[in-house]
Amino acid sequence: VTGRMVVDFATWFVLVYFVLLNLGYLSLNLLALGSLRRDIHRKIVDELPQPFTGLEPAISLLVPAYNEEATIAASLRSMLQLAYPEFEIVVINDGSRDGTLKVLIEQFDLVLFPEAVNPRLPTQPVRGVWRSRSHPNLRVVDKENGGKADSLNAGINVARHPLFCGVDADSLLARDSLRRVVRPFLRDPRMVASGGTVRVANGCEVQAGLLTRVGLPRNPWALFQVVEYLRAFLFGRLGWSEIGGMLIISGAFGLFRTDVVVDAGGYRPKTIGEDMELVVRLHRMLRERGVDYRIEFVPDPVCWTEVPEDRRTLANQRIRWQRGLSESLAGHWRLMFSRNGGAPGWLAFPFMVLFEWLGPIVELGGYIFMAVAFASGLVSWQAFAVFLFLAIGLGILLSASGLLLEEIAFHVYPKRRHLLVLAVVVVLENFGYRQLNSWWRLVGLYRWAAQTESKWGAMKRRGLGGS
Amino acid sequence: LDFSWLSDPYLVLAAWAGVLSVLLVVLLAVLILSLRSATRRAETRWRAFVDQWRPLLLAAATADETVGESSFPPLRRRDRRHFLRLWLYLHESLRGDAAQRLNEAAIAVQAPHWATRLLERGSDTDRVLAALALGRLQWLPAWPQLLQATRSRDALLSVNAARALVQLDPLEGARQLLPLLLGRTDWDVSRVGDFLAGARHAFWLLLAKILPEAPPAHAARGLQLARALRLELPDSALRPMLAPTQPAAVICAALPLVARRDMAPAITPLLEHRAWRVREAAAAAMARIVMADELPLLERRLEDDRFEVRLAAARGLASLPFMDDARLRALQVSSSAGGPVLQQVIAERAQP
Repeated sequence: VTGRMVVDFATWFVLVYFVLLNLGYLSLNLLALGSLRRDIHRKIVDELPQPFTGLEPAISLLVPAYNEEATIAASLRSMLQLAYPEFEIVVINDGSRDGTLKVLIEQFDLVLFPEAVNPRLPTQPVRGVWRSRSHPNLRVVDKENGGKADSLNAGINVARHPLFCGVDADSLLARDSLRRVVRPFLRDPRMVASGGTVRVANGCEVQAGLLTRVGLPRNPWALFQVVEYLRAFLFGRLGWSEIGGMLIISGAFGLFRTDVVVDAGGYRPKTIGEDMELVVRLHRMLRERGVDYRIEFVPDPVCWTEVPEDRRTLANQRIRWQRGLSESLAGHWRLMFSRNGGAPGWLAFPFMVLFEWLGPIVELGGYIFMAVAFASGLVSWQAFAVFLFLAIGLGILLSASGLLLEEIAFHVYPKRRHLLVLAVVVVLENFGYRQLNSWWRLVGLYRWAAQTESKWGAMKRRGLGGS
Repeated sequence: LDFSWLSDPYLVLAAWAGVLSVLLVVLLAVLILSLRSATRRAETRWRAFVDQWRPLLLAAATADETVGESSFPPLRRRDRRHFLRLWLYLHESLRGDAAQRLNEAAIAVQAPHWATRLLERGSDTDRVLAALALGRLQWLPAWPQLLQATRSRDALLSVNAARALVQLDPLEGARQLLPLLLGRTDWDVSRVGDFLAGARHAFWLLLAKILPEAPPAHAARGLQLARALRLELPDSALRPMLAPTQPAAVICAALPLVARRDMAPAITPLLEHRAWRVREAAAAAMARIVMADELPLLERRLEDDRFEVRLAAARGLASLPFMDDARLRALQVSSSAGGPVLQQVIAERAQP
């Protein structure tokens, strides 16, 4: 009788969980579809020549760097070519143990400068601030190692402009990325942050730090991630943005109002998911104070990043992401169902807890439970087959809808071969890759619970083409 | 537990849900393929249109004489959107006679008439294109339709309709639109600044008149636009904006517009304002008009609690033509809080 009750309960739990999860994703999909459809006529205006008027707020690009000697010069050259009237680049060398600072000094003609640092956020000691003689809008903060969040805080302390944009040192930005991501600030004075779509750069052609041709990677790990990024950004974030419930702005490219972030205490040092933690904290702080604010997502592909191409690096990245998610949620439980919580507190936060945070436990638990129950004769082969059929069918459906949104709005992968490859990946990723991902996320959860120390995420890179 | 394939309703439901998801995947695949095919067809049509019409429009733009209907082949109804798209692209890059010739080309294909109809009844894309084109064409008969479009909830359409009205008649456009220009915060402020450049004087007149009575949010936006347009507002409009009782956002927007020496008495109390942003902007404004005997006012701000104010004061001092390095260094030695910022600005001055 007990066994039957356990099986009954587990069956019901998994069933209800799957229904809620997929209803949630379906709603996000529809919201994203509506948003993309509504904005489609904006493209017509976008293609017309548009002058800058001087009303665009100046932006500080903050580029934290740790052991980036191989790629930092090419990345900076690409950033220096951005089309925007007024921006500065602040590289924060977080006590790199390689020749990052030396490369920067040599390549950009840096000289030590007696900069007065505004100590508005506490950070590890700054050793010195360097200025480029060849590029007046480039400065480098050399500081003791303190992690990515600490580096961003040090960058904020020397940032001069009302908006800052956190950019990963290995990101490739589209030339008009700042112009696109700043738009929400131009048409809504309540805007405090905006984030752009990050796409996979592996397989693309890059020349002189600029993306010249979009392509798909040959490496299967990277290919799976192309579909994942489409799903995560195009309907995940866009859907949440539509109802003002976006809890994540990618650390690879996000624009924030400097004063609001300083007021919130900056990035939280020693966290892994400092990007998400900051956004959740901003929601919580501004809602507690009753401030009318907006955080918006810009679906245009503005930032391209190199993704891991081997299992080990990918596993480490996913483990870190899950730990980051756990830290961000655990630190702000009070946002959930709070009086002024709105969409972030009443919808996005509970959704994240249920389906992103606890997702791997339920998903893997579901697979294991069904396999064990089937092996021990507790469920029939039909039930087992139907479970797998449904789980995989819904997985394919969600990925395919990401592909549809991409086709409707951006059409970034123009060749027929691209479409065919992506369609195959949409199906294949459900046979092993997703389950492996759930496993890595489960490990991340465990490591978060065990509170092991966090460090900069080292990534094995192949590089993004010639510089 | 033995599930029976046909008798267990939940299992049957789950199986049907699985079937439905597969059917939806197939549907999505069909949608994606048809979308791709439609996009390809549209691209081919667009390219063919550009191949045919671009040389014609460029020839018209560079023609010495007025272009007439005979210069162009008949424009098919389905190509109207393409025409507006190409015509606008060329028009946005041209000025003077070339732009005038392009207008003649558009009139030759009856564009003002069908663009007005598109503005009233077209799709979202058509309406935006039509508003842009009617403004470029300076087609006055479309005024009522454009005015109606400025009230649309679609920010992109309404802001471009406003732009068109200002192109049609700068003074009347600015007059009728002023409440919207200052009140519709969903209008891209950079775009508004861009088209108001064509109506600087009209906007100056209207802003100077309404500013003292405007609600704070409208006043702040008006001042922001005035700054972008480099307008010099009369004392009677600017001085009330600098009253310490005004909200900090209004004062901060007004201070960058201060350019005359006689405003110094209005700025002096703002150097002690409780909001640091006001003190920062006041220090920068004061530095533009300060006389040698008022330097202590700025020097006192070197001891301000806020770093930003200290830096603005130091930058202001360093920008003064009568302030040499020796005096700045002396200040650096004597100032306790302002030392580091003075050291920075001295180094900045030394840089080529």
